[in-house]
Amino acid sequence: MVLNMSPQTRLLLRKLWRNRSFKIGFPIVLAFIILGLIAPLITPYNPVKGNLSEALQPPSSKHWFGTDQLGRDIFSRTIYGARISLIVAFAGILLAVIAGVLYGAASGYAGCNVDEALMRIIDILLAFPDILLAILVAAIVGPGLLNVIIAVGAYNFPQFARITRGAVLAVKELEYVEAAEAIGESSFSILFRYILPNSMYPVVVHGTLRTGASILTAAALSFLGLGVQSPTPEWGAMINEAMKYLDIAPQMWIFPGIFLTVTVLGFNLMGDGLNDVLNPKIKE
Amino acid sequence: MSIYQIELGEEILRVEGLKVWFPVRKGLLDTILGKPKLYVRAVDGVSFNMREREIFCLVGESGCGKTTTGKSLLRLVPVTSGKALFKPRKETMEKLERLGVTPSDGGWVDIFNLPEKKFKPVRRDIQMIYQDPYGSLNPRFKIKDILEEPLLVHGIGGSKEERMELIMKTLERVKLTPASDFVDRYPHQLSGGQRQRVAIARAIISNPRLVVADEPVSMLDVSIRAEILEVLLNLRKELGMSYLFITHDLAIARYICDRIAVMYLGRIVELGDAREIIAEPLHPYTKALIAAIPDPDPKNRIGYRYLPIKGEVPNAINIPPGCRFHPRCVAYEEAVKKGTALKDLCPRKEPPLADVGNGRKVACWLHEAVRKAAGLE
Repeated sequence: MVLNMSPQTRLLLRKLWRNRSFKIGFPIVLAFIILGLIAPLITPYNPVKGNLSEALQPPSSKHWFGTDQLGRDIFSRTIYGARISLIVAFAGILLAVIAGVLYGAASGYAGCNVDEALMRIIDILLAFPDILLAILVAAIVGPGLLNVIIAVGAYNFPQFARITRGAVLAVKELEYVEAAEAIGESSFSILFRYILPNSMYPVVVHGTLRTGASILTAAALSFLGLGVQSPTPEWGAMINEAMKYLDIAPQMWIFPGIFLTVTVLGFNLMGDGLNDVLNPKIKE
Repeated sequence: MSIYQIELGEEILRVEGLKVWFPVRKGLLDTILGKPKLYVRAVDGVSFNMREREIFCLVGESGCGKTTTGKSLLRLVPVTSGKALFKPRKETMEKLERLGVTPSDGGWVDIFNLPEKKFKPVRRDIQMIYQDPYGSLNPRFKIKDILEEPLLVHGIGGSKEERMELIMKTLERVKLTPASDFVDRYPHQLSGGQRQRVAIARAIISNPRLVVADEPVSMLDVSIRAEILEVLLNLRKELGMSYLFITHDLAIARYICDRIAVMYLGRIVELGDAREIIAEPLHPYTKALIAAIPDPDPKNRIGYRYLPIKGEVPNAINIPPGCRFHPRCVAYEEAVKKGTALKDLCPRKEPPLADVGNGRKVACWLHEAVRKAAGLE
């Protein structure tokens, strides 16, 4: 695969590797992905089964991060939490990207009145504060892992639609698109082989930035009781449970809190780095 | 006649009364107040014809509608009114007949009057070369993919091997040799001149009858312009296509074109043999254009040169009444000073493009033939 890369891609990767934000953010994200993948191998306890006789213990050599009110090992739960958070964020963003890109591409390519109509709907959705829209969707579809994914996808969707539409509008005016028309390419081919592949940079950057934000939103939904439900180890849900033991068992919120912060930071740094490299308007 | 003069063939294109008007977008307030709809009259009644192997040149300032005229022949801009009768090649004609298009006598097809589906086979016969070699190639396609697209779209070359062979041959035709060095590269790995050769290769790979060349050398380095023009001329000799050559550079027009049409604000004001027009322009606007050609001899640079033209191009929404050139015309100014009959005629009546003999046409009231054609004398 490496050998097949176009020189353009290779240059891009070299630039990325020289970017400081990306150099810090990418390993963090990678570490969390690996952590999520190998969670069953490195966790000493079952994350959902507790031992009441060991409830609310502070960190020790037996329980590195201590235990919660039901005697569950917080280290195991936090590591498993990376898995849930990443699944929710990635799947939710993927959903938003697919829907948003198709919607935005249709709007931008069709232009005129279709574009006007489709974009006014997006305006309405964008007028809601992010979290409110997510809460609204979560409240409609109900709690649960799959439903959090849908909520994350739905609240991110209008942004991707707007971004894609903007990029498509710009690329559609380029000469090679008109040249494709001149040789007789079909509209389908022009949109999917000429316009969309050249409109993806802003979507990639925004996708990375929104993944971080979506982890936070998913956690917030769970914290509010609208997302993933206990006993599933989810950072937001864990912090919610920790509220009642805020002062006597701070390990219950400190560790998931740190993990949450670092993951989001990782995604944001990585997104900033991508933006620096991919956005042609920013020059070092 | 170009210095690369070759025998011209039959007539292949007749454009009659072409108009391309772009509506100006109105604001909500204007709609409520019922303001009349405005149009940018980019092309406002253009007629010309072209023959096989002819290089026909449209010259004029930017914004005079020359590019729009060219693009309209590929139906890349919406045509408001007018006809473009085109004589497709035999295979294309057969395809069209199968689609239910009946050509008029002599095998003419009005390409503005075809639905898009039926126009598709004609696209093979009319191709375009763009001005900007950096913008006209898809950055994500390799050179071979760029050149294979027209073949796939029009079903030319049965197998992958046949298509590759044709791609190689075409790259050699545009002097990108050895062709095998170029097929697997991406556009950004090539220089401007090389890219423009790829763009030319894409245009000619389907063996078109007519190529619209929109300022194909104006963005290139001066040192490679001549090479690219040479390629275009050689291709015409080998493949026998005609070029509708769009340029603002009269020196280039004189160098390669058979005939020239000078455009001003969406209309042709003068048309005829390239060398004759440059040697002896009839329209005051053409005279001004020719006076503006830089002189290579430094001895002739005595202070500022006098340019026989006033002011700037009016915008194409509010075109001046009568002769659209009169507010800038030196001859009109003189007529006003002297109080001749032209002083009333020019701002009132638009001169027709009339034959003045010798295959030359001009649209200016200064010429008797024009006044006669309009029935004024």
